[in-house]
Amino acid sequence: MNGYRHRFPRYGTVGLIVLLLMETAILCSQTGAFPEVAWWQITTWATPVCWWAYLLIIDAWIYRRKGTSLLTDRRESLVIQSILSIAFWCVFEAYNRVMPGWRYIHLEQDLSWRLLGYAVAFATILPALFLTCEFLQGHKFFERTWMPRTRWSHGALVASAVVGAAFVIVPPFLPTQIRGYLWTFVWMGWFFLLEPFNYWRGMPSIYRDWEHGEPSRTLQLFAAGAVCGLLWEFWNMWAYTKWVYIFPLGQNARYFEMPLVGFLGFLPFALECFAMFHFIASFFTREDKLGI
Amino acid sequence: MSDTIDAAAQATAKLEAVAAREAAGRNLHIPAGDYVRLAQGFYFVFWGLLVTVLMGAQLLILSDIPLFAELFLGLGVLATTVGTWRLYQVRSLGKLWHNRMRMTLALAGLMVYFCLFVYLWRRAPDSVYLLANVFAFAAAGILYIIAFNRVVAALAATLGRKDMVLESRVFGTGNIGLLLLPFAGVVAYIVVSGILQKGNLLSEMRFVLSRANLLVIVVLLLPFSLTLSLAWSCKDAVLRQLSNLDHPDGYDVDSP
Repeated sequence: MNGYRHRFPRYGTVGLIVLLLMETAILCSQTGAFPEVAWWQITTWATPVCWWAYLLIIDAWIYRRKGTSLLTDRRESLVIQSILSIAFWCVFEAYNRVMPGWRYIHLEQDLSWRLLGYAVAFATILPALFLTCEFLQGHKFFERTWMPRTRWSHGALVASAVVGAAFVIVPPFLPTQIRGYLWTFVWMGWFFLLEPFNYWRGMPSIYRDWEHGEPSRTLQLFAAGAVCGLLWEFWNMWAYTKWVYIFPLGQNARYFEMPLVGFLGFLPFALECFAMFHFIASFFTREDKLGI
Repeated sequence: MSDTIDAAAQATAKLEAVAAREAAGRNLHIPAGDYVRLAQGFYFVFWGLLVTVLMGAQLLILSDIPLFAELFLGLGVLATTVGTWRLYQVRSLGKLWHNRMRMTLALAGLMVYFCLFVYLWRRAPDSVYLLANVFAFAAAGILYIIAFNRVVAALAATLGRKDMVLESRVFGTGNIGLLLLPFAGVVAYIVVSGILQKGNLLSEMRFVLSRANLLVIVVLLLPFSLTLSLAWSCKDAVLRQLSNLDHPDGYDVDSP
């Protein structure tokens, strides 16, 4: 018994093929093979194509392991996650206009194509993080971890919300030259701001996990953030249309395009996405729509 | 197009008429807790909308507004959303009310979402992305006002208040005529001129904003104030119903 009791769905195979084809195009563009082919026209779409292929593959893998997955049984949740993913990332893009963080290069000139590209790429962020977390849960990563129980008084939760609000509101008000150093606060602020509300409203909550002395979901989300961060930077590095980081911190030591210090932001970002998703979901249902 | 709108309006009017007849023909079974939620909701919406409109109009027009004033916009939007949330929690007013409240709550949520962009746009006024989202905030606000009028119409119909049903319809139409249509025209102008001249959308939007100083105040405040008066009279009507619950034998709490 190897733990894999179900067939690998066909869409997973399709995802694998698409990913391999895109990787081949990237390899050809980097090595200058077949110069008569305009590879850059294909690798312009590398980020969204690789990520949608990744979603197909990892979802198929989860199905093979558990017999249930986002694409087979919870498609409406995928749609909601994708819409919220675009909405959440648009907020961070707004911060990026005010605080120097990253900029895009070689964007499509045609605005409608460019907007389509943004939407298709941004829509993968939440599903990728949550599916990776589900994958790690399916393989029982960090399942036997424990931590001292945290008691959440009302005052502590209010303090968390106030600190979170300060983290998300204050940085854009500070002088321009120091805003770029304050991304850490933005990546953590929404978590501190929204988690108390999820806790109070009985939604799935990281704070409640800590209260029960269960850090496994926190660590799984951290790991999902790290895995997705590695892949984001890996696929971005070779894409024609890509982002480059311009925040004024640790630009010397880099992992692909990303300064190493910035890589730490992916960990709280996963927790933040979890908190933001459940906060919005709590207005419509008390069910756990993620199942992670 | 206008036939479609007329047909939709007639269908809506019929629904409201049916709700009013039903309400008149039976005793209302609205729990006291729901009356309290209604009163709280309308109270929050009234003050929230008032602050939002005043601050929003000033933020669009004036460039040197202090920090605390910007935060008032957020507080206004939050108060509006909290009020809408309280109204949404009222479940005893029927399906028409619930459906309309769901739409209104979604629009309040959009206002909260886009409010963040307004506040960031103030830090980077040259960003076309942020300015486009500011326009989206304005659109969400206008649609919220229209949806709120429809909610009031549903409540008034349930309470059997024909005068308020009429008022909410007239004010709702006023909102569409004075707010939504001019706004849609402005957006269409920006998009079309941007496409035709292959120019910068930002400069078009700035041009519109620079011409909007007096126009914004006059056009915004009239329909908004009508809707605000409706919210206040709704709160009063609900409180009156609540006092009737306390004194079912017709004792008038207003009399000396």
